[in-house]
Amino acid sequence: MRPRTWRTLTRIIFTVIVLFWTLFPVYLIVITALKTYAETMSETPVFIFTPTMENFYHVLFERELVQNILNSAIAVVGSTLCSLGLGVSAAYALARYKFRGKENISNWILSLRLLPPISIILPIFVLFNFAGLLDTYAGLIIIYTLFNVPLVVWLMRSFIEDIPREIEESASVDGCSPFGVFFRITLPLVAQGLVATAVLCTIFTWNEFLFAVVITSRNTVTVPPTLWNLVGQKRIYWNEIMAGSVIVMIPVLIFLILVQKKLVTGLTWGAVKG
Amino acid sequence: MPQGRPYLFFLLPCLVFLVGLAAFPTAFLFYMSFTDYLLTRGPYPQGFAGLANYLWLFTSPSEGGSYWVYSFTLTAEYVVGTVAAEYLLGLGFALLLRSQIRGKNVLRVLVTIPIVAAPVVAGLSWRYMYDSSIGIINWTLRSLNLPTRAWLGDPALALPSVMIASVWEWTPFVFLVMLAGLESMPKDLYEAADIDGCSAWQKFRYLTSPLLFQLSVITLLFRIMEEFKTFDIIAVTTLGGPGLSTTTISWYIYSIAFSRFDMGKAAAAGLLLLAILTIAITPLTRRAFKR
Repeated sequence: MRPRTWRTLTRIIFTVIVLFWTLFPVYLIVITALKTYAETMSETPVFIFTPTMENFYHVLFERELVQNILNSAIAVVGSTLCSLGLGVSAAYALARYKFRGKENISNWILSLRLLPPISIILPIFVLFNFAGLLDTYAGLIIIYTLFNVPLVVWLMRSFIEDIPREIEESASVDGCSPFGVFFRITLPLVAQGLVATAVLCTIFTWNEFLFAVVITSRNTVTVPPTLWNLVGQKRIYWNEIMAGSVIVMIPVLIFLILVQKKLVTGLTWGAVKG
Repeated sequence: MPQGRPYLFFLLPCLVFLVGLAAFPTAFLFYMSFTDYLLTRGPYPQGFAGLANYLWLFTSPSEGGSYWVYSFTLTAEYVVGTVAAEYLLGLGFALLLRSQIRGKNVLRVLVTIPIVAAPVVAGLSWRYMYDSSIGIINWTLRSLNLPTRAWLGDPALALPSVMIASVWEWTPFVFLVMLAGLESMPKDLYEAADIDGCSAWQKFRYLTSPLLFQLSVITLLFRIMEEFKTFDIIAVTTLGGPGLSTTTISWYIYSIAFSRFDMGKAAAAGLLLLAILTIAITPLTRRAFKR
């Protein structure tokens, strides 16, 4: 064979290996979610079987995952709105105004997200305990707002800095107040970035585990700790666990496809433009 | 550039919130670390402990001390192993798929799918595959007449097994960032290199790799910080075991606080971790996020 053919062939082989590596575990999650309990416990994996949707019904309504999904949704919506409200305006100040200590403030905000959450959750657990915020929606929303604000500030700062300043300046010359400029000029121009930021906050909150485990106990448990509890039982119902996993993954998948264009910028906090 | 103080109105609400919920708790963590504070005895600290909690961290376990140093070292090994593997595989995937002509966008989405799984889900999926009796990995080995292993039950294998699950989940992150970097590179440089008769290796060495350097710093910073926090995957696969073979620092501090309910010692352990990471990452952050 000629060298070019060889090269194409190796590339195809490697691509197949890569796809097998990334997709096989996902494939296993999906097919296990469609199996019966007996099929999941078989020592020889069952690949041909009659799919059943019963696991989804069972995990949602009899194990009441639907309540945990609702809790997660409340945490997601509440904290995303709060972090956008607090973060976007701070990002605007950092992007457009000059003042002393600006970069220090900015770096401090960033460090809040990079540093280990286990350290910060200890005093928060104690303080929430005093304040009666453990296992409440307010507590969840506060903790996830804290978790997401740094991301919002950094991402939105980078998106705002991408718009040419002249547009805002001309509005300002025309007599628009600083707040008018922010709400009527800047925000509409960064709408796309705003949506991408909101989606990333949503995904992070939806998947977050440690904070949820520490501060929720009965009434406000979100989805990830619930899945954890399911493997803590004596008998592990893998089919139900995987059905729950599929339910957790679907919204994230949809969201990721929606923000694909801004995904790299989002995941690197604006440090890399995708 | 607008003048005056309106920036305060934009910035203050956020700063007040962050000071109240991050700076104040950090100060409170500092205070907690100097107290006797067993949650089983009551919700308030029981007394001043001086440096006892810190001394305990560095007393060897055989003398009633802690595994802080052990779990910190273990975490460092975990971080080096996972991040190195994620980086090399992610870069490899990106270089491989960049030259793909057809179906590139579909392939990109497919390779990104592991990120979609929450760490909890990724951990569960691997735990099912690692299961010593019903897991698909041991079934494959049995079918090939190879010896099977207790992947998560053997102290020597548990840590690498958990690391593989994490590498599986996060390689796509490196892949995405590297691919974006590679695609933003100016094409005419490569055309000029082709005309000058450069080999593929020369093009990689003199064009691709310098351009990838800055990108790599950022990617590695993110992955190192994230892997250092590893908690979810440990919780759903091994609970830090068998023995202490997968007790990463986050899991260790969590178990001091919420299994032994010793908030004073947990606070000392947490504050020390916070201090070390702050010192270690500040220069890196400055470099990666230079404006």
